[in-house]
Order: sequence, then structure tokens, then C-alpha cells
Amino acid sequence: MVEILLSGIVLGLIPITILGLLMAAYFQYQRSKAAS
Amino acid sequence: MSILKKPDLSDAQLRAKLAKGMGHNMYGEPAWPNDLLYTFPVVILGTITCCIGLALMEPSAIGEAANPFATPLEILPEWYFYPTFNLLRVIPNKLLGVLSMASVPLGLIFVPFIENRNRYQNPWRRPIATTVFLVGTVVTIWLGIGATKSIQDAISLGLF
Repeated sequence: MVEILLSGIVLGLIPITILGLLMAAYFQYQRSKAAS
Repeated sequence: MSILKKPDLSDAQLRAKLAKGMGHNMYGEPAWPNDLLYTFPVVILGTITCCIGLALMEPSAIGEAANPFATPLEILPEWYFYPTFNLLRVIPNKLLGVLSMASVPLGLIFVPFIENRNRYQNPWRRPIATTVFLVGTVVTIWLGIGATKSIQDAISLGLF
């Protein structure tokens, strides 16, 4: 049985978490590139 | 990054620590209030909201008692088993299926080592590891969605 709310929580948290990781990493990447 | 503490290089203690490669917690982004006040309550309240929302709007009822001698036609495990479950039912050979399950953690163990000449930690400077991570995530979600469909649409998801 597929639970709609649970699927929404899982499938919603995965992209937002990865997006947050990649954006935070990109800001650090920009900062370290400007520093060097 | 609202409040950033600049390193106080007139502080002899900080300079002594920096010379030893330490003291990086004495400047930069402080935990209070950036994390402790602005981030943690959002995460805590969001998690509680998700749990209460699930408990109220999708309470898990007690189903029929399991009968080991009569497997139902349609079975589905817990949501976090969807991808491996799909892998198992799609692969016809039982040995290959078990090997594919074992290769999931084995493959994950090797990800840090395939790019170990790279001294950076930033994902934007680790293209191979990041690509493996993103492709693996997409494949896992794809297989997980496929587990909820019939066996004919398990791989194609009915899209092609």
C-alpha cells in the first residue's frame, strides 16, 4: 500500500536536501576560488 | 551567514593555535544564533509536524494477520525497501538478485576510493563522486517508484 503523505515527505525531502547540499557547497566553492 | 566573526589576529592565543593548524572554531560562522536559533527549531518543528501529520491523517491500521502459507498476490514492503524490492522482482535469476542486493553497499563503500587522488572535499571539486551520487540517487528513486507499479511497468514506469 502506497501512503500518499509519506511518499510526498520522502520524495520532497530528497531533492530539497540535495539542492541545499549543492548550493552550500557551491557558495564555498566560489569563496575558495576568490580567495586563491 | 548573517553574523560572521572575523579572526582576531591581534590575539596571540589565536595566532599560536593557527600556527599549529588549530583554532578554526574561534572565528567564522558562530553556532549561536545562526544554527541554534534559526535552523534547529525549523528542523525540530518540521519533523514533529511531519510525524503528527502522518499520525493524524494516515494512521497505520492493524491489517489482516499474516498467513505464511498464503502469500497475497500484491505485496509491497516498507517504503525504504522499494528500490531493492524492485531489483529483486525484476531480476529473474535468484542468485543475481541476491548479488545485486549485496552490490549496493559494496558499491557505496568504493565511492570514496575511486577518487582518492582528489584532496578536496567540496562536491563541486569531486566530479566523479558527485556524478556517482546523483546518478545513484536518480536510479534509486526510479527503481523505488517502479516497485509501486505492476511488474510490466517496473522498469519503464509506463513512460516508454
